[in-house]
Amino acid sequence: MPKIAVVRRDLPPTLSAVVRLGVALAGIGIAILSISVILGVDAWTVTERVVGTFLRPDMIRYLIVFLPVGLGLAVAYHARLWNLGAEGQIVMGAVAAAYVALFTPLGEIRVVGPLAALLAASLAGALWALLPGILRAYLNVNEAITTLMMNYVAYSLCNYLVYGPWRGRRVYGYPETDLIPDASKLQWVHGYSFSPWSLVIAIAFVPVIYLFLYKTRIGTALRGYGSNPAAVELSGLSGTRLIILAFFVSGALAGLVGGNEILMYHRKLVPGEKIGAGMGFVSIMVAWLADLNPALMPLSAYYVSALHYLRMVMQVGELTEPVARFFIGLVFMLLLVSIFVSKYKVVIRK
Amino acid sequence: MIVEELFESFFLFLLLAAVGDIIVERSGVLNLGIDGFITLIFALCYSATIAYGPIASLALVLVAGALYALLIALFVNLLHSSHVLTGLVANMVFYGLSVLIGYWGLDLATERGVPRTLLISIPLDWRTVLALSILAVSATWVFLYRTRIGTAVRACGYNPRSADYLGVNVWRTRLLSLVLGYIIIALGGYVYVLFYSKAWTPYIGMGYGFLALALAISSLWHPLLIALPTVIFSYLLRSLYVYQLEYGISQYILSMIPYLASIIFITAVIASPLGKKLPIPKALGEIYYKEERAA
Amino acid sequence: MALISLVGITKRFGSVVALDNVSLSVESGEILGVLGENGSGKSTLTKIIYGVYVPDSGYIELRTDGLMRRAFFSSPKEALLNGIVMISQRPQLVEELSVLDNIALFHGYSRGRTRKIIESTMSRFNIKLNADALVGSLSYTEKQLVELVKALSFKPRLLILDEATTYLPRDVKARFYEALRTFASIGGSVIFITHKIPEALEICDRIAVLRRGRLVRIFSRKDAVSIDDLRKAMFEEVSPSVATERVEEARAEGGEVLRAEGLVVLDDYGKRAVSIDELVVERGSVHAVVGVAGNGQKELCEGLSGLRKAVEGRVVLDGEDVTRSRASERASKGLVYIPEDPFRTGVVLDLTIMENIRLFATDRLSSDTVKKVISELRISPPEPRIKSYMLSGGNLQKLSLSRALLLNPKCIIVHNPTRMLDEASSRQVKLLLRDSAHKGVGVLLVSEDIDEVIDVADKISVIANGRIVKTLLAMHPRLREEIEEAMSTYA
Repeated sequence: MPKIAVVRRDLPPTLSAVVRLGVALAGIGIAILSISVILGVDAWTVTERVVGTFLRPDMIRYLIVFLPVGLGLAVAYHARLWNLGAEGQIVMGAVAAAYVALFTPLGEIRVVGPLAALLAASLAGALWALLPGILRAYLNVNEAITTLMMNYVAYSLCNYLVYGPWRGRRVYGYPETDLIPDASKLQWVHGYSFSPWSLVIAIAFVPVIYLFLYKTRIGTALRGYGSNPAAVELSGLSGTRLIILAFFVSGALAGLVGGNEILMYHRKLVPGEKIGAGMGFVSIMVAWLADLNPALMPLSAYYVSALHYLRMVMQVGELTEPVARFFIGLVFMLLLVSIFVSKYKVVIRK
Repeated sequence: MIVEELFESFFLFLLLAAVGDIIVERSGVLNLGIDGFITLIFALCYSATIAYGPIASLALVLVAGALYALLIALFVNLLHSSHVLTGLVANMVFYGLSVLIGYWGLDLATERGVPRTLLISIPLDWRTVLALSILAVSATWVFLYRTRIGTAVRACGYNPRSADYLGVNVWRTRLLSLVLGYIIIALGGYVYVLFYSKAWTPYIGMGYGFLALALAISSLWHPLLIALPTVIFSYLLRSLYVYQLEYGISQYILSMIPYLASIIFITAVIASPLGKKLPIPKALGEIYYKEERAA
Repeated sequence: MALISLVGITKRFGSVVALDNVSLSVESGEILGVLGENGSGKSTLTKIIYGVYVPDSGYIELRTDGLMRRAFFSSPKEALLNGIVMISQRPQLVEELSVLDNIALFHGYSRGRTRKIIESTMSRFNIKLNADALVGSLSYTEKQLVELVKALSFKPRLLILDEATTYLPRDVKARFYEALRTFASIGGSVIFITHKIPEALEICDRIAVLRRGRLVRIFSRKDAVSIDDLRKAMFEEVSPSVATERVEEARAEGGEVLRAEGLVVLDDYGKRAVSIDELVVERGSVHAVVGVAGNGQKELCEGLSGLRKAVEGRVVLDGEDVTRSRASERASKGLVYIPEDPFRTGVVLDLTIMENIRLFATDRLSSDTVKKVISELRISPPEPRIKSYMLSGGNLQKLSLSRALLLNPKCIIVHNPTRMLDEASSRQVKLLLRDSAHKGVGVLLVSEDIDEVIDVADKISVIANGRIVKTLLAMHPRLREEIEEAMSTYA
């Protein structure tokens, strides 16, 4: 009877990244095959489409969402703080940005308007994350559940506003607010639905977060806090403050993205589920796929954005959305396997 | 009659889901995948009942529970995956799958000219519900606190490394907990579809899993404490519509309430003296890895 | 006839070779000692036998049905199935369950049946325990006795004791030895692991000496072995016997740097673990608090450092009342605590050496500082970029100690600092502590080991059941005897 033992592998980070990349590509291959088999579409056509999504700039629209949120979540996850509330933080950021754009005079001012809106959005996201953060820091309440719950509260709050007090005067029957003033809109790159500024900001965060996590004392403390809070405390750094900081940062980045969604994409406030659209959850995978390493995050965000865009491109009648969810879920399952392969090896002896 | 109001099918569903979750999490497995599972079971149960009738549907649903448990165990045990990621990914996959299964059922009903709403003639009166609830709760208690296996389960939740040294097979125990727990949760889903909603809409069930989790946490994973919060919650949830109609409060504000209430509940329990006294599964969510360079 | 043989066992952890081609065997009815310094590989060896680690090369042979057959254990459970039980220095019990439940789990029997088994074992080996007590409420000594009963009730063929008795009071040690002799007399085998030569000499029939992963020599009781013979095998040279030369008398600059008054600290179960009227640490001196393990040392350290809240009393640091401050505040004010267990509290294992140092250092970190720390403490391997979990226990402890160098402390609290260290590193650390004292820092050394304390301290207090029962100055005549007596009386 062969015996199985699982042993840790200590791969250098580059090799580990290569292994994951390999499995990620295999994942795409499997996805293509299954799509073509189950839906009866020619495999080559599917491959063309899939490869196409990886090469078309359209998917940058999603990169702008996944990259910053993933970076923010990485900060929290390094400290083993399970912030699962990115969805809600994105939505609240959107609400705040919509408020500034629609209901304050700033909304009509160029440059200042959008900046103020984005600032408000970041703040809103940060504060939304702060409640579960405080509960965790001071009362040790499990943050996975509280952040999850806050997602639903955010959806409901947003829906209340959209269907209620903020309902657009000019749009009947459709649940949304008015369009935001032109001054607040972030202009698109010609032919696509994303703004260059948003992309720049998203990419700019990569070195910032990287330096923070790996070159500063506080960042190092955050990374250590997850596995050994006592060691961090004994080094003179307050655990509660670190927790609050982690939630603040991840919430702020998610909020920023939410604000950007309003200013750049929707240009109005829509029901909560449409704003988050599950992207908050997908960002969690983006963070882990990159092994929480900011330097690898652009790559993992790119991969996931392309897949996400693939969802839109798949045409299967009314079943597009759930089928897409199913398949992307399967690909993520493969990613979990890839994480295993890169970290452990199986030893079999007789 | 208040008793009739309290002990009905929705409550039974929530209770079974929460109790099943307790069994799973007591072994140290953080059970985020319960939400995707419930969504799946609702669809599966509905469609299977349309296609094969209620008895076969019950069998199918229980088998699905065992299989789902197996899948989670594979990731959490062998692949050493983070429990959180496993749960979230499973949710993603099975949310999608549930819609496909549900539509299959709806189409089948249309094809066969059968009404889309399930018509079940067996009533579920409050006495039955109460009896089943008491059975579920006490059986779980006996299992966890009075059997050998139950003690092993709790050991894995408290300290898997010590449990391993005591000769407990942590993987096998977690697998067993998962299977047992998910079968019970599946049963709860069956109750919901056949006796409460009797219908299916896309994504119905989403959020109930997390509610069950919240209930489990707020009862400190103790089966004897779970009944009270569950009764309160199920009553509140069902009454929401009434409040909307009677007092004209926006449905959106009302839909926030269960979630906010969960947060308040959990906080209150954990901060209370009870929270400090009862031993909780400390190792919840801990990826159990055997070989460490430790003295 | 041999019961178990290890042949050519080699085990590596990354670049560190823990065991290098070790072969030895144990006879039935024999007590084999495995003697070696910390880091010599003794623990790794037993963990391989017990199924916790997988050897990189080599194999184990076990006598099954009269023949020596190859055996491979991939889990403790398998070792158990083959009649091998291990008791280690730290009890491996589930604290939230009762003694009965723990042992029942171990056997896989029902509670009733287990109770009978426990009772017969206890009467056979002359040990008394309350089977219904929650393990968490027991003292360290009692927990080790539980482990012994648990192991013996299993009727194993091979019993492995990994430093299990090293920190027990003398009378309990004697009971352990008596039980072991009874066990050996009925045919059981024992592998007895220790780093204390007198222990090995007292109980073992043969002694295998390990040094840096290699088997140096096997001594037999028949050969009239002396302490020096063993010492030479363990260390390559005969060092002066027990006391380390003190650097110089620390000049007590006077003035208190740390004061605890009326301090009451509870343990995890709400019981009073510490109840001290007054404890003072003076600037420029080393004050030791020693006692049998589990008499409140950990809670005292945690209460003073802030990791644990005191329910009564005051803690004053350099004139400032810090009772309400949390650990991080106290640390930043100059109260540095180096906990005993680097694996759990001292060092972040997932970070590299350099990153841990960065964590400790309040000032801007330069690569020179890192190099200096590594070389001063002789951390091996001296590679700042490797992950800390690759280091051996001793090196981890040294890394943890670097906090004392980097945080500019006014007062250092150390708990069992040299437990994991080999003799050379031990000496180094002791010198470091005295050196700090010499520079004006107040050092509180909390320990379970008399040897550790006697070389270093200016003042020694004995702690028992959370209270200070005796305080002596270092120059007191018959210091060791009086301390031992105090420790044994109250344990």
